[in-house]
Amino acid sequence: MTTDPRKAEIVLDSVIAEAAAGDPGLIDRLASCHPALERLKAPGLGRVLAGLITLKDAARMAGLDAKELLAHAKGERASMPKTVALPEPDQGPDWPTREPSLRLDVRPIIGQGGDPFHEIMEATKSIAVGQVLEITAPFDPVPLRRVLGNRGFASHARREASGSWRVLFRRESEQADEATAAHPGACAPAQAASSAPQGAALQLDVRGLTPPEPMLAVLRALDAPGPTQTVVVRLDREPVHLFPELAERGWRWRALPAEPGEFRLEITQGP
Amino acid sequence: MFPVDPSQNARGRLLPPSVPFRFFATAMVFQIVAWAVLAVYAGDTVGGISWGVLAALHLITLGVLAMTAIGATYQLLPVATKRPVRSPLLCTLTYWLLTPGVLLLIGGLLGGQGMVAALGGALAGAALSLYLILLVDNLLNVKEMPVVIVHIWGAAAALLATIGLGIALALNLGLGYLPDRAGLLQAHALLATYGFMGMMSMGLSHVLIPMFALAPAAETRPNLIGAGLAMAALLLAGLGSVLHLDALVALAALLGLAVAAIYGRAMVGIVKKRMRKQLGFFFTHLRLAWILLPASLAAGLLALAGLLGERGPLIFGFLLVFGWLLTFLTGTLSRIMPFLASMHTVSQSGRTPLLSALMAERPLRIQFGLHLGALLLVLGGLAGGWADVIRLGALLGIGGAVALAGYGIELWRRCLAHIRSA
Repeated sequence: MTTDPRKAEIVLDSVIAEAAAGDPGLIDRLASCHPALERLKAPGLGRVLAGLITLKDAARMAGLDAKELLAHAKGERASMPKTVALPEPDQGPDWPTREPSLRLDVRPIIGQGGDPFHEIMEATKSIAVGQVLEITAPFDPVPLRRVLGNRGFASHARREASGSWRVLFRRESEQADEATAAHPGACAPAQAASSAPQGAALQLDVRGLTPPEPMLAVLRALDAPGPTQTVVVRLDREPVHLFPELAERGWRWRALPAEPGEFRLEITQGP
Repeated sequence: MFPVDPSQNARGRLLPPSVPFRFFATAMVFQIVAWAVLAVYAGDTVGGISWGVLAALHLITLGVLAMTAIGATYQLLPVATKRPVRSPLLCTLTYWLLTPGVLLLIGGLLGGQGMVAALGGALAGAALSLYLILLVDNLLNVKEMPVVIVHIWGAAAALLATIGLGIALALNLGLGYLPDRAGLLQAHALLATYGFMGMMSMGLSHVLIPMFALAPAAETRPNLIGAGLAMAALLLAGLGSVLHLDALVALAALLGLAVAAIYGRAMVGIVKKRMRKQLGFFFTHLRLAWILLPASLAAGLLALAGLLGERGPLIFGFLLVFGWLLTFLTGTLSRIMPFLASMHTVSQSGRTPLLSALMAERPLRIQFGLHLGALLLVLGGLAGGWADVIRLGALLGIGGAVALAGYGIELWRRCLAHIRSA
């Protein structure tokens, strides 16, 4: 019996899309573990999400035991991973107990298949230094927390008895960099770059998304701070509108061999 | 036209640059001629719709609006639908039918030569028919981007009716066989402007504006409802015109206002959610156009009720064609041209130019100022019945059109400079 080498390499830091490339059933297995991970199967956005979070991120988003989720993902364990009480390494000394300046419940938006990123970013504009924004979400929005972290927010997440998540963001400093306002796509991909292992090409699969979402997903990933030097994007069509934007941002691109009906693009930083 | 890097074109569905840019360049020339005709025949406009006014109107609708729309959709629609145009040769043939068609039609109208105008109309009709066939061929079985595609289907249906009515009216100029052409003329005008051009503009807005602003597309459901209402309005407007039932036309205008509200809300929403901070000056044109769309409909309603006086239909038509449609198209064209030029231009070292380096904002600002001045003066002149004010407005319009041509020439110069660079 032979083992697919890509499948054998799945670790907690594996980006889900890369792991799924060698194991087509992986997404289904992960999605079955927790409602928060069902978004991985959403048309279009699911692919983007999978390309930008690791198994460790997925475990945190769903509040599951990471090692058990990994074993389940690898098919080594049939039973569902157990829910864990997550540590709060980023908890501030006292501010999580303070009254929030603004509350935003994004569960209805996500429940309708929408993406609350714009509403969240609008809400952050009214938060002054020292003030707190409270977001109620159906899962721990790990990548969103990274995005806002890069914009000067400390965050603290707690799972409520109802199963939903209460996430507090306190502005620690003025917005550091507008470019970090990259969209996390379904509360996920903004930190695409940092989700990819150091030195490796970020894999972004935006097939199935309706224009202009593929272009936006790529630009958000490129605009996000991080070590990424190369991004490989899988698209449904040649992104002619994207090319001028890449040129303006100082990225170069070339077409790669691709499957029929697919356009694959390698984007690299440099002159 | 623009030099082509074969590697850029090999995988994509972009046509050779000579195809769209031939349409765009001709449209810019025809716009200058249109304002010039209006300036020359300004005195006639005070008395209502004249041959000179009809000529200026068709120079804009056929020579500028249709010319640009055809060039743009031949190039951009296949990218969106992922289906190449059936034949670049047929695209070129469209141009060679449309351009002489417009020239003969205008010459015939201005010279009082009915048969020449009829021949021109027939040629233009043939060009639009060929375009319609290629458009429908490209749209068939496309299921993505439903808002865009439904609008363009609506535009195609309106174009079919426009062509039929237009050819009948053009031939009537030479043969004089229609007993009652007023209703057909009104139906033709409404279907061509709000129908073909309006639906096309709104449909393409739903893909181009998010691309320009770097923003998510508008919601599907309300905008599909908007497209449905627009088609219902067009049907009512056409029937009301042909049957001389003003109530139906008024109802169509009210529905049109609802459509404009849905469309405007979508556009404002897109701009609000944008990633791009600086939208570029061409958005000033687009914003003005978005205001002029409902303004034209309101003017149409007032004209229908007889509240705008004897020149009410002219005020309405001017707001619609020179206002909403021409302003929108100018804004869009000024952004599409550098985009396409950047796709087709490579330096000796293989670099493509930056879009920002190709766009010359100064001529565009001058164009906008002159265009706005022209709109205000001509509208004022029409309202007051002052031929000299209309003429002055038309002269400003010529200046604006020349500035737009200057923008195109500067773009061309910058592309050449980039090609020659190392």
